[in-house]
This record gives sequence, C-alpha cells and structure tokens, in this order.
Amino acid sequence: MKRIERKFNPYISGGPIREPDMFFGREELLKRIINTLHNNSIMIHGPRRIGKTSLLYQLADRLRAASDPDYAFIPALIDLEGTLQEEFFHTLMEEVLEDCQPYLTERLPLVYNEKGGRAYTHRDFAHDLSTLIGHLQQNSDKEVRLILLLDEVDVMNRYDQLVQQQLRRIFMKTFARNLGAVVAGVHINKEWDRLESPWYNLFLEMELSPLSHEEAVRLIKEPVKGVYSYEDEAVKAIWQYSQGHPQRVQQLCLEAVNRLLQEGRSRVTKADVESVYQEIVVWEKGQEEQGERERARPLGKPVAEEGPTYEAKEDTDIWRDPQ
Amino acid sequence: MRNPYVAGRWVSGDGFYGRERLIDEVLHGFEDCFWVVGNRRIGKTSLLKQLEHLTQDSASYLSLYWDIEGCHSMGDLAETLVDAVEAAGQGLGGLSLAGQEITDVLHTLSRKAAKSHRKLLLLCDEGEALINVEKAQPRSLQRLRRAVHTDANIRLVLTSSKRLSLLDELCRDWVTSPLLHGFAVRYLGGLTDTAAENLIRQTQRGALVQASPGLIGDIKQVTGNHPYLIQWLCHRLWQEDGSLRPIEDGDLVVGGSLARFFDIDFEHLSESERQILLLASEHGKVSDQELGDQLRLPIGRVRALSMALTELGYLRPVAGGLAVGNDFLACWIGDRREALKQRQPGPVTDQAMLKIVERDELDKIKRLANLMRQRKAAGEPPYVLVLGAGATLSSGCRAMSAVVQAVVGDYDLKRFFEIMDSLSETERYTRLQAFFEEPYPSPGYRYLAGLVKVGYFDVFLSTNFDFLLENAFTEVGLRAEDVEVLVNGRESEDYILKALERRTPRIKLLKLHGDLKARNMAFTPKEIFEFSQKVERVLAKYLNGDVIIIGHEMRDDDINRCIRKDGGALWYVHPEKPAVDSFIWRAMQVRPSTVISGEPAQFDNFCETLYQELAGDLSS
Repeated sequence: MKRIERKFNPYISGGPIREPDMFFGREELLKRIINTLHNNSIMIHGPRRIGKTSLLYQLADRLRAASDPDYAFIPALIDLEGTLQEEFFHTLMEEVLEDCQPYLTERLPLVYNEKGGRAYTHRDFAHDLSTLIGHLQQNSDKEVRLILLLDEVDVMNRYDQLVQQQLRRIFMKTFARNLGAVVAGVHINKEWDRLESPWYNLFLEMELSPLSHEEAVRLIKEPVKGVYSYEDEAVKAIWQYSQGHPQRVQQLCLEAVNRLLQEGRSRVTKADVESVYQEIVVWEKGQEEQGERERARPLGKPVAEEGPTYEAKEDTDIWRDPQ
Repeated sequence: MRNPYVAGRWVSGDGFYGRERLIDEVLHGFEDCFWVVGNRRIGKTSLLKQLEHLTQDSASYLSLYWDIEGCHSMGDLAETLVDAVEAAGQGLGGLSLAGQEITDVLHTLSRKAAKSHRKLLLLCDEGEALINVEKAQPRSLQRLRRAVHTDANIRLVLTSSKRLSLLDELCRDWVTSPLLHGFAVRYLGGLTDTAAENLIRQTQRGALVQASPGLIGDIKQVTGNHPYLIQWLCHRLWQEDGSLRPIEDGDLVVGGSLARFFDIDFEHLSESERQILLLASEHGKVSDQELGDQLRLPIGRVRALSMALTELGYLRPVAGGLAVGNDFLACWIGDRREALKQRQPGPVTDQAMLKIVERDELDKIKRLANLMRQRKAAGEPPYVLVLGAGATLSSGCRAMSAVVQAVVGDYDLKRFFEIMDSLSETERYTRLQAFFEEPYPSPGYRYLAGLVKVGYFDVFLSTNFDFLLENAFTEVGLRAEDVEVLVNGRESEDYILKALERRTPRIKLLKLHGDLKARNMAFTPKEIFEFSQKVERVLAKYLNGDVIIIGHEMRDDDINRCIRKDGGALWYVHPEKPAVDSFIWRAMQVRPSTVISGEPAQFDNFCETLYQELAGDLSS
C-alpha cells in the first residue's frame, strides 16, 4: 500500500535496463553466452528496442560476478554511438581503461597517456591492450578474459573498411587469447569489397529474438508482484500488442500502471491495456509526423516538444499493429 | 560445463584438431615456401596459430605470426612485420626495426634466428593483401620474393583464398618468376574422418563430449568434415550435461554470416568451376565424364578442376561421382541456383586454377623425389613400385578393357573369362599376342629405367605381360645379369621367394600375372586369385612397406589381399583419382597416402618429371 502511495512504477521504457532485478527473460541466452565467451567472440543482432543494450548491461554484471574456477572475466562496456572513425581506437581504450580501473594496481606505461584522440592509432591500441592484458594477467591466478562489450556497433558500418580490418587484426594477435568481444547491433553490414577476410568473420553470430510468452508474462508480473495485479485478459492483451518485444511490454505496463495510480486502483484490466495502447499509437503517429515535418524544416530551427511520460527514440519501424 | 566448441575465434593448442601431415611437412619437410589455399573459415589462421604454438620454444625455429591484412605497400608490410616482432616477444625486443625496409627487417630477423641456430618461420596470414601491394606498387614484390627465396634460413607459410591466384596475372610482366613460383601449394579442405571425430568428441580436452556414433556420423555427413561447420553445428547441439542433441531441421538453415561466407567462396570460383558445382547441386552427384559431356570440356581439364574443388571442400567424392561438399553449402546453392547461374564471372579464371592444380601435382612429384633422395642418402631401401596397365598403355599397348572389347566384341568380362578359361596356354598366347607385343618402350619407361640404374628403385611388382620394362632396362645399359625377372607361374614359388631374398642382383621384377613369353597370363578371376600363401606372405612384406603404384587401379583381389591396414606410405599415381569405396580408396583412408592425378600422373609425364627432379643426382 505504501508503495502505491509512493506511486510505485518500476517499469522502464525508452532506456536500457541496468538493474538486474528489473531484467526478465533471456536467461537461456545469457547462460549460453557466458558458457561460450571463454573461447568465442559473439555478434548479437536484432531489431531496435529488442533489448540488446540491456542484455549487454546484464552480461557485464554477470561476468563481473561470475565465479568461474578457471577464468577471470573483466567486462568493458563501450557504447559506440556517435564515435567518429578517427577516434575509434582512442574511444575504445578510454572506455576499457575506465572499466579496468578497479583491477589496476599501478599506472601502466600506455601510449594512451601520451597521445590524444585522433593521433592514437590501431597500433597504439594493440600495444596498450597487450600491456593492459599482461598486467591484468599478472594480478590474477585465473586466466584473464577481457571482454569488450561493444554496443551500437552499426556505427562501424560507416567506417572505412580499413578501420574494420584494423580492429580484426587486434583479435588475430597472440594476446587476443585473453581477449573476447560481444558486439551488438541492428544490422551489421556484411558487404565486403576487400580482398582479405571480412572483419565480422571472427564472431559467432546470435540473434536476439523477442521474448517468449513465458518470459513476457514474467516481465509483466514480476516487477509489481505483491503491489499490483493483472487480469488474465490484460496479460493476453499486452502479449498480443507487444508480440514479446520487451520495450513494448515495458511501455504498455508503465502506462497501464500510471493509469492505475491516477485512478487509485491496483488491478490492471484489459480495458486499461487497450486504452493505453491506443494512446501510444496516437502519440507515435504524432511523433512520426512531427519527425517528417522536422526533416522538412530548414536546419537550425529547434522544435519544442512535449511528449508523454515515456521516452521514445527515433525509429518506429518495428512497431506495427499486431495483425 | 562450458560449451567447448569454438566458432568465434581462431584455435590453437588443445583446441586445434587434425592437419598433422601438413604441419609435419612445414616443420620437417624439404620445402621452404608454402602457399596454403583455403576458403573462408576453413582454418587458415588457426593452422598458422598452431604452427606458432608448436614452435614456441623450438630449438629449430624462430616463428612469427605475421598478419598482413589491410597492407597496401611495402611499407605496410614492413610495419606489420615489426608489429609481429613486438607482439611475439621471443627475445626480439632489443631489435631496432622500426622504419626499416621489409627486406632489411627480414634479413635482420633471419640473422637473429641463425645466431641461435634456428630458422625464421614466417607465418603470413591474409595473403590476398599482396595483390593490393602489387597493384599499388608494381613489381615491388620482386624484392620480397628475392629476400625470401635467396635466404635459406627463412621458411614462409602464406595463407590465402584461391583469389591470390590473381597475383600470377599481375606478375606477368616481371622479368623474374612470379611471386608464387617456387611455393609448394597445399589445399586446406575438410578434416580427416579421425580428426573430425576427435573434434566432435573433443578428445583433447578434459571431459569428452557425449555423442552416439550415429550422431557423429550425421555431423560428419552434413558438415563434410569442414572444421568450422563442425564447430558451429556442435556449438548449437551442445547441452549442459556435456552431450550433443540430435540434429533438427532448423539447425541446417543457412543464414547470416554463413550465407555470406558461401557467397564469397562462390565468388572465388572460375566460370567452369561454378558450372561444375551447380551441376553437382542439380543432379545430386556427377562423374567427371558426365561433367565433361555437359560442359563440353576435355576430360583432363574437368578432372583437374574437380580435383581442386574437392580438395578445397566445395565438392566431396561419393560412390559414383562427386557431390556438393557439405549439406549447408548444398542448401545454400539449392535455394538460389538459378540466380547463381546468372552471376557475372568472378575474378578467378579457369586458367589460373588449372595452373594451381598442375603446380600442386608437380609439387607432389617434387616431394616424392625429395623423399627418394633422402632414403637413398640414408641407405634405406627404395620404394617398391607397382606397375599396372596404365603404364603399358602409354607405349601403345591396349588397356585391358580394349582387349576385352576386341576379343568379345563388347565389354563383357564374364564372357571374356569364359573364352580365356576355354583356351590352352598356346591358344591364349596366339589370341592375345598382338595386343601386348610392343617392342618400343615409351619415354616414361626409359626415364624409369634411368632411375632404376642409379638405385632409386629395386623391386617392381607388375601385372603387365609385356617386356617394355625389360627392354627399357636394356636401353639404359642394364645387362641381363643386373636384373632378375621372376614370372609367377613360370618359376616355382620357392624359387621366387629365394630370389627375392637374395641381395644380388639388386633389381628384381616380379610379374605377378605371368608374361607373354612364358605363355602364362593370368586373366580370369580363377587364375588371379591363386597366389599361394607363401607368395602372398612375401608380397605382403613388400606391399606393406612404402609403395608407389603407377597406372594400376588395384582391382585385383589377389594383390589387394596382400595390402594391410597398418602398412607404410602409398603413392597412387593415376590420371583418375580412385573411386570412393574402391579398395585402394579405403586403403588410402588408413595408410599415409598421396594421390597424384591428372595430366602430370600420365605414366610418361610422371616418370619424366620424377626423372628431371632427380636429374642432378643421377650422375652420382
């Protein structure tokens, strides 16, 4: 009751799930990845808002907490969104060092400390990575696996293929025995006009699909267990409108609970779900139209906008009415 | 338990399976320059990493894994080699190499290795980058070639797809030999059955993966023993209790990167190679003869191309012909066959591929010559040579099938045997004489006799009835007392056994099925199945050593009974590769074996090439 008074609404829409207790489903996949990462690098692909970023956050948490008898996993989460090609390797090292900080016992002689941004090359990155991994291994009695978790790797589609090759070469080096990666993106471009091996051929590919029905039901009910409840018909409606897309499930639940809070109720009905769904569709349509107007506007004229309580990102391509 | 399969990085150490023979050749063979050709994901990088792993603390080699991906200039090559040195450690830290030319870097490294009595083993990955270098800086690779070929202390293993064959074209206007000349070509295809089984069961790791023999057979079948496909599929099939689940239809769906790799591999095929693959896909299986008819290409060319496609895993031999190399590739082609037929020709030409194939076959002969030379120097007994009708054919004698046709009017073996069984020795002699009495040995016989004269061969087992070899011996100056000719059926078995045991004369020719002069010619199954136990024992002794089989299809049960599983090396020289499930094919699955096929395996061609390879030693 107190939680209702505090307007408790745990669902998250529009951003990645960082808290492990708000992350539901994907257990099998996470287990599969963790069982595999000691000797593989992985490429995860799936549509926008399917939960790739959330998965990487959870993976980072699980790897940090893993009590593997043989391997010490050190994850480094790197969001590549907006990363310029010229600063790619510098950005990578910056993020890697930040995540490795707790494991460093001394200041390492890294090229990174001497060169900034664009001056920092793939060779510098390889040198520093080798030094860093050597240091991490020295301080561990287990075999170290530094795992780069690269999000929004689609950014690299726009890079010169030479840069992509330079990244691949890092993984070919002998020290890469202690290096792994999980890269995530919507569509990793497989077009390749170079003569040598394509950069993506070092990854084991996995698709991130929508949640299963069982996983979706858990995501709907578990976060509010003991506080709110759902009519069976409401759960069915959420499944029908979301088709297991986790962000859509969260969005519908978030708005349905907001509605409960406004009306002082504690049980979500089918009518609640249908109503919030209609609101979302209308809002998204408005967003889409506004986006089109925006694209048609001359540059430099900002548009004021007030959206609903949830965030929505630019694309709407996967959100369609269920047939 | 963790999933032990690796489909998302290179492997080495206990994660690496198979390729023993190639590794042995690189580390202990005669050649100093290898070009290892393989498709995407076949394990080229892993092979190099394994070689690096095996030579880590080697007293013989200072090894360097050298990845040249992305190189466009000689400067890039030098830079990547310096990177490799830095990454390797190996006490090379003190060398100041940055900014040096590639040839200087190589020279410095070679000297460094020589100081510790080691050879520099360069393991060069992504060889296709050399095309970029040659395009950007024409003729610059001449310096690299010179540096590598003139320094006896450098051994180079270069890996790439077959696309690197374009380099020959780019080097056409070189005054010197093209870069890849002098490189021993080795194909990287599927694993052997044993290596594939070991990989599936993970025998080199702590705990074995549980899989029934039936499932292991299924995995080998659908993957064609392709190491990446095995790892990829087993990764999917693996269960947390350490077993593999059965394959389901969904496991064989080809999508994502796999489809893209097949696409790249298809792009690397020459026009005729594409047609061969598409025909194999369309018909399920095809023979070389059918391919020749359909494509209107000479059979020799079809054989050469299909052989390379088989070595690279695009095709696999099946009973009665060739099929697409694995079920994944077959699905991928089957789903888009019509579109593939319309595809524009790729950069690789038939001519370039034929050159590679020929180079490979010639290279095998060169390897054999080296082994013969080494045996001779070590005082080891030479190879035993088995001669069949294929040799006689080149001298104008008719092959057995032609004899049957001429006698019966049709290729009716049963009728032929009936006729032969009904004739006396003299009747048979007069009936067959014209087919086998050819006085002049072909050049191949003379080259062979030349090699015999200087001790490269001692013992011959022949199923031919003619005297071509004896005549060739005479032509090269060997006298009658230098050679013991033993005719099974003419001499008593005790005499044959004693004669074979005697040290002199050194040269012994045992005519297993009789000869024309003795009027004793074993033709029919009844006759050729009748070696006595004593003769069989002594034949087994010879046939279980290291043997070269020339122009013989090994279809005679009396001889085949003498070939044991645990014998020595088999070199099978025949224009056609042995048919799947034939006796010799099965023997070659269990004994160390090499097939030399195509034009270079024609008797005359083979003997001439072998002779030329050893020519420098013939005066000694």
